[in-house]
Amino acid sequence: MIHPFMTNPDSGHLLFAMNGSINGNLQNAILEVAEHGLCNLPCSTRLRKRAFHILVECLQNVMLHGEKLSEQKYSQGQVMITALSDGILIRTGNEVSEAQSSAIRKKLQRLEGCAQDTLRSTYKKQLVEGKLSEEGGAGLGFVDIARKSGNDINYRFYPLGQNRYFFSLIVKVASNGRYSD
Amino acid sequence: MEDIQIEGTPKTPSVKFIASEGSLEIKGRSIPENSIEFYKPLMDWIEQYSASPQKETVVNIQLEYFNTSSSKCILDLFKKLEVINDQIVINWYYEEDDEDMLEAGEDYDAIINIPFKMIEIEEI
Repeated sequence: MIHPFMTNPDSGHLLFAMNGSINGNLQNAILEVAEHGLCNLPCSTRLRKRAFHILVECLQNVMLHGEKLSEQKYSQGQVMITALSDGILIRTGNEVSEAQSSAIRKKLQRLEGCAQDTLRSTYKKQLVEGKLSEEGGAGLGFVDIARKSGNDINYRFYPLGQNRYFFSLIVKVASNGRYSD
Repeated sequence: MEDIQIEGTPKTPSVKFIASEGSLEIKGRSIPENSIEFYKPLMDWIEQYSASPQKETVVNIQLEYFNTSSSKCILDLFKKLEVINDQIVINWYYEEDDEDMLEAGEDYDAIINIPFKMIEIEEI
């Protein structure tokens, strides 16, 4: 399914969009295409690097939390990257269970409105105290995304029925972020 | 002990650990989905090396990108190096204008009890 949020892009230059199964190999291809698109933008290297970094974390979130297709290491997900006049917008979407939605919501709510120094100390605390999950998650992804974007993370859970939700994550990497670009 | 020499890939860095020279280098991108698989052999090597290290150990970290999964493994790797009592330094390279990478090095410096040297370079 293509969720409506993916079919109504913001005004701006669409760099990349896809809807489907994502695995490790496809992730490489997505990153390669996205990086090529980012390199052609008339923006600072710093903004491009931050956008790429955030894209990596967002994609890996989809792969960690997205609905797994039976017995395959594929996750169903959607990705969209748009260049705006004042930054780069990264959207990802994937289906999650009710338990996952509660856990993700809790993590994201903790980060809302946090100042940069708070995000940095939260990151360091989690880096020291956290443990890697079997799938390689460090519990640092959303903190890092918030740190690097310089903006609050926008998210929504659209009910799909049968205790399933479509998790939409929207991150704007602003060209006037926390450092003077 | 055997040295480790691994070529870099689009998702994993190149690695050159030379025991006889006390030289450890990680360079490139570290963005695998599950970094444990990649870093576990490196941690095992360091554990062995730490038992009888060279008088001087130089660690060169020259990363263009690393994901959060790798950041935890890199910390664990540094922790294993902390047991070396002889002279050891971590050279943390970052591209000019890449304040995020500099900040990441500073974060490790604040956590790890090994001297860090921040080195700005033009391009990684």
